[in-house]
Amino acid sequence: MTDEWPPAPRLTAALDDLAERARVRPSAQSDVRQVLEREADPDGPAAGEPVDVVVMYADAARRRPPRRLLLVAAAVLVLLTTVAALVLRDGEAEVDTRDQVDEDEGEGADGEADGVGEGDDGLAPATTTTPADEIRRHCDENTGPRELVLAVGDETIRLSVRGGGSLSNALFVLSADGDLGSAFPASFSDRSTTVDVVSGVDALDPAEVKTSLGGVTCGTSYLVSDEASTASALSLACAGTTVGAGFLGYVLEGVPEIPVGCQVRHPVVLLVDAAEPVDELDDELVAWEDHLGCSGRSAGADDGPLVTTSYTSCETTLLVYSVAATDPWTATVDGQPLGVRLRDVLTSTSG
Amino acid sequence: MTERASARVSRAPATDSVDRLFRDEYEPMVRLAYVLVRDQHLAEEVVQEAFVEVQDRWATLLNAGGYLRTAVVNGARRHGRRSANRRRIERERLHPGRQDAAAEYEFLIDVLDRLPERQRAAVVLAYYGRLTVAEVAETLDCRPGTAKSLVHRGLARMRKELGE
Repeated sequence: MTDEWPPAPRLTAALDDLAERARVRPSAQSDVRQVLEREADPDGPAAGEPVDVVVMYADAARRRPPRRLLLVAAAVLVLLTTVAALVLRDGEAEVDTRDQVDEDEGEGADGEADGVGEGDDGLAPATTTTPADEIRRHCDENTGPRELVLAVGDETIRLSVRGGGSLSNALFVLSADGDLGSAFPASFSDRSTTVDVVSGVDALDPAEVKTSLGGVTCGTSYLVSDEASTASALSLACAGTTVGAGFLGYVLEGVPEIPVGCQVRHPVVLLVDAAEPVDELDDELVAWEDHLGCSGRSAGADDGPLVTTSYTSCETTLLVYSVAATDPWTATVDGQPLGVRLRDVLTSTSG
Repeated sequence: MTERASARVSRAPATDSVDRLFRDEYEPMVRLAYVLVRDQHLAEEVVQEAFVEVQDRWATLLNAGGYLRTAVVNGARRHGRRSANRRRIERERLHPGRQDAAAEYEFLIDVLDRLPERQRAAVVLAYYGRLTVAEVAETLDCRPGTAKSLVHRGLARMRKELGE
């Protein structure tokens, strides 16, 4: 036992006792060994390469044992290949029609961010279309399809558009387990421009996201993430922010670490658990405060389940809500659903 | 205190293969993950993800054992909040009031569970893992001063809750 720490024999004994309760199951150990052997297969996809196999987790607690992944992945691959083929075929038909009637191709969507529309405005043949081309094209045309699948390393991001909207003026919602409070998207969006990103990713590599997105997102996009997906959400946002397009506000559950090299310059809302008081999150919050140029932190009004933390000055808006609710999205502020308040804050402070 | 070899978090062992690292570290890492997340299946999942991560980066790692430990702690932290609710429910079910805590160990762990994530991780690494300040700092990717601060603040908060 190192003598660098104050003695705490009872604590050490309690932790040792706790650790002894862990079971080292041979079957679980064998499963891990099989996963490692499979991952090490030299004939498999190299790290960072987009792969066609899709692994989608509806809920981390319901993740299938490794030995079933291939069956699930194969079924999903067939489904997505069919969807992709239908989508590309529909997209081509729409484009062909527009070619005939529109003289002003490449007109950007309303509120498109800088950088959109630059580069290749042509319409690539479906057979050589990359995900970036697809996004760029749909940003330019403000049209469907309603679903786009991106392969990022060995994970996927699926962008699905609800209602009559498109990928511009988008709200990206990341929820690793799909249970982001249903109240939030409904109260946040105006329903006509809502995009759900249902993702099974755990932690995205910003470099991989940047490659896959090709530096293209469009419109005035906001990013919302539950706690399980916060790291991924921020990686996605940083990739978009770094290339100067897309995200104009972030709503994150918890206080994620700022990815190295990420430059966040847009309003950030952090929802923290009231069980962990804000002053106990010093290290993490100080990092965000420094990053966004905020000073003079003070606790604001106690509004039932919400305590708002405010700053005397900030170069970029930072709001920290301490939420005492099982589902933060059901909380209300001045009688309004939290989602409505956040939408108003983000839209009033964004460019 | 009785030495329990399987309960130790090994110091950065010299390994020349993922296989050897797996052989040597699987059990200690499962126990470490269990102490952090308090859930058997979640602990196994965290450790699996950590080993996959290590294998992916094997060629570039200078300290595979240290990286593995960091990956386990980070994985536990990622999952930590979701299991916090389960721990809360388990605590409420088993310990309806602090005065009803069955055993001193359960009570101490209960208090530990209420620490913020990074403080809890730092305390576990220091007192279960027996890691040095530098090793705790390396695992948590923070400065040694921050590692010390996390542990000391965690202990202070625990003492306050324990009425000491």
